[in-house]
Amino acid sequence: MSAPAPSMFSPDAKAMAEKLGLKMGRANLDEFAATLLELAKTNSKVVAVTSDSRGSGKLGPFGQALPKQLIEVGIAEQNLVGITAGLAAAGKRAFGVSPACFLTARSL
Amino acid sequence: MPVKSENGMTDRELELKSIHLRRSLLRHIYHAGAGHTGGSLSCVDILNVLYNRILRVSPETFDDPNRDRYVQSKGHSVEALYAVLADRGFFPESELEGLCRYQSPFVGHPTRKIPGIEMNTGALGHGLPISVGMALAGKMDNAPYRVFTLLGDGELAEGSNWEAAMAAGHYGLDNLMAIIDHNTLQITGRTRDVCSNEPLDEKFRAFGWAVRTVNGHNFAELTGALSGPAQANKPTCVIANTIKGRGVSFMEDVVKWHHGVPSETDFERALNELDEAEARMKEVAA
Repeated sequence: MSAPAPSMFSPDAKAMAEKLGLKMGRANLDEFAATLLELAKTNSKVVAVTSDSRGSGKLGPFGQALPKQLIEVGIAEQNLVGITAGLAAAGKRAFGVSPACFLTARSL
Repeated sequence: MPVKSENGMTDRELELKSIHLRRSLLRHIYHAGAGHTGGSLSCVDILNVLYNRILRVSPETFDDPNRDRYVQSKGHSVEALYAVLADRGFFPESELEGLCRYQSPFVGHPTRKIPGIEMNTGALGHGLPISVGMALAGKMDNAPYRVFTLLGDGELAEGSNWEAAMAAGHYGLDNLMAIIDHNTLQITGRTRDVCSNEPLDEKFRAFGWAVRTVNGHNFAELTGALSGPAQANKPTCVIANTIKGRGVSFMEDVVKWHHGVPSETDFERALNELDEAEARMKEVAA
């Protein structure tokens, strides 16, 4: 699942936003990924766990900048959740990142 | 050839302690009217060796970030763990009289509310992924601690175990040790008839683990297997061949004792057998 989600900034969406007088910001996922990278740069305890999901989670730059702080488990969401819990129990600030539908339904 | 540990306990002393631990767990299950008897009896010797010879952890050092970690993935055998932790002084043994009683924190599966317990378990297949996470943290921090986890063999049907096994092999986690309580039984019957996972040793080797197979009731063999990684840069799997219900003749290798609770007669018979075993041991010179 590496294809990015369809942009909310379609021409129709922009037109509606203008009509309502709303200001367009950055997509949540981009905001999340940038924030996590900032936090991880200053706190080595911050780690991310991905299930072949760094693309969909926008964590490509994170993985390149801080490879020792990203754990890749492959397409295995149950393992992702378990490993995130184990990292947290051992003192890390661990973030498990995977598409919502998989992170919930496949890992429970 | 008797093996002495760092704390000086001989195999014979451990064996006597195991009799005491079996008495303890049976008594608490009997009084609670609930418990996983067979599987607790099959793994108590493993826990005895772990907590009295192997694990660098104690009630005083449980908050030390460099302590060894133990996660009981087969959480239903909590009665064995409670007995061992009480014996090691993590909490007074008298608190176990509350096992499964209303408002007692000593419930039927491990929780972090109990001093000495690292992780809530019970839904099978969680312990190995969690242990992999702990071991990864240890590697990231260059920490000296080791992570041990005990799994049931019926539990190995859960796919999450194999996801974790794959990751452990991929990351070469030689600070991780998974022990399989290989008693070959589960609720529905013999594991090989329910959903066979044999050959276990070949499966773990194929996932990049080093494997040791031992008699899970032999203290010297257990000590040798658990003392250090079998191979550098690989996680270790110790397959401990055990007998479900071990120590009580009418419970040994019998399916119904998975969560059978002893009746008053059963309990007395069991205690007599343990008393006799203890007396026989004490007759032999130390």
